[in-house]
Amino acid sequence: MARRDERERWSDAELLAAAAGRDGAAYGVFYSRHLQAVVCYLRRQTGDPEAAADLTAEVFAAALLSAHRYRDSSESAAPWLLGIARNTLRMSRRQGQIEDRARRRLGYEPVLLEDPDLDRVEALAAGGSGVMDRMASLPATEREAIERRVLQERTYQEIAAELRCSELVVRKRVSRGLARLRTTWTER
Amino acid sequence: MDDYFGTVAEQLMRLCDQGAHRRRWRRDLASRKLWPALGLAASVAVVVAVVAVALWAGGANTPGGTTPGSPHPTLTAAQQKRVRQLAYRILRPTGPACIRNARLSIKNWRLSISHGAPGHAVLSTLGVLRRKATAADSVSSLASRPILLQARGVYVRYVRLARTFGGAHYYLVPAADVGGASAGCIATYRRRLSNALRSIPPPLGAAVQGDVQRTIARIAPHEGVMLFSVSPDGGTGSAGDSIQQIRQRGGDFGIFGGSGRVSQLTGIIPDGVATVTLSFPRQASGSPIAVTARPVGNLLVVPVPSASSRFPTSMVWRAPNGRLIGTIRRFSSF
Repeated sequence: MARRDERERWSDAELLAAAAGRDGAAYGVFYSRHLQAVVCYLRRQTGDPEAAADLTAEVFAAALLSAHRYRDSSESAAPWLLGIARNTLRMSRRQGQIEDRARRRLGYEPVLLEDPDLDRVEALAAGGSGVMDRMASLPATEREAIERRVLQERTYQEIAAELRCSELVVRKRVSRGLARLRTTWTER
Repeated sequence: MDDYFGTVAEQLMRLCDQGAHRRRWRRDLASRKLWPALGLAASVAVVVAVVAVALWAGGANTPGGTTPGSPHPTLTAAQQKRVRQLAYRILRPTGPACIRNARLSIKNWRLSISHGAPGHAVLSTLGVLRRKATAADSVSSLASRPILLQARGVYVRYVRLARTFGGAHYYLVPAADVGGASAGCIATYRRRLSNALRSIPPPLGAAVQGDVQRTIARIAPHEGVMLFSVSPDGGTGSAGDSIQQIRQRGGDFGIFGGSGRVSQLTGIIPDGVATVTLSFPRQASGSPIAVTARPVGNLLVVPVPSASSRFPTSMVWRAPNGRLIGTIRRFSSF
């Protein structure tokens, strides 16, 4: 059995592979590594610290259920995890209540949220080292393209019309920006 | 770890160790293997619920030590825990009104505007909003910026061009509500509270009511101000901060991309602050950097290198006579 400090050096793909094979400690390292990014994203999207905390638990439960399917060869699983966060949010909005299907499937017991925990959500969201701060370091054209395409889920056609440029240019900006984000994430 | 996220982590790790994520519940359910078990579980749940209610009703009067210094010092620790659970249940952000989907839908988005005026607190905090409007304050692209989709009641007559810097025009945009729960969501919470109070014994009921009302006061719609920029490459906008927050620690701090290798750190600063000294974290090589700048039109703009754009660790506000107004260590970023 690997020690926890060894796991800290593992890539996300290795951690998820281990978690798929019942290594809870590996999933603990994965959770700690990406908690801030997920909380930051959900806090901004929901505008509500309680909903963000509740959804964060659901996102990590869903990620655990899908750990065996993770095949990405890139260094960071953050884009994959934020994709799960986005889907969880979308499902919650559609149903009008916080999605909890993954937690129910796992047999997860509800965890009580208290006032200090809400402060922790705010602290994580305002931590300054999350996705949004990395986004802020991108050139404005790339950041705007990523915000509209990835966070707001608009079509390339819509974005191109708004920015008065071709779809190809928008695609390039999104692609370059994501590549740059991936690099900064790796350098972390 | 004993906080919420620590407990979540521990539970997920335990479930992972147990292999809960490898079970095939749906397939089993589809093949009806689980129906007898579910029937039994439902029966057990009913019994457990009845017992729990009975225990809870008795527990309300259970003698025990009180907890001085807590929000409800006359209640026992068990009763306080129960109060928190009940308040949490009432304040769970479920239901259509509590999920911001309607207003987060880009396709159906329309800017919510108001032709009224911001409250005294807003106008007395931000001088730029008090000056007479000019042609330069008109920003036609505001209505097409979904970045403002969380705001309700944008005071269109009070949008002001705060500053032009590095080719970008920065506007302060006051609104009747810049965040928090919607009025519909607050109504949902109040309705749940009213229903719950019918079945909660008086001593606990008063405590639950107090907790819920305090939370509602905190998350109810509130006035605030957003920062919005227009630049040749598009521009951006913020989620907004309450005026109380802006007074205490400034508002909407963020780093905009800028052009070339330079980004711009921007933030809203209240009246009375003449200089702002920002301390940036120590870089891999070199010492911490401190930058002093003057806000113009209640807006601070500080160029920072793109490659090392990091949030400052602290901010010192000084009055025109040099007097220290305050040191802010927790930034309100968007």
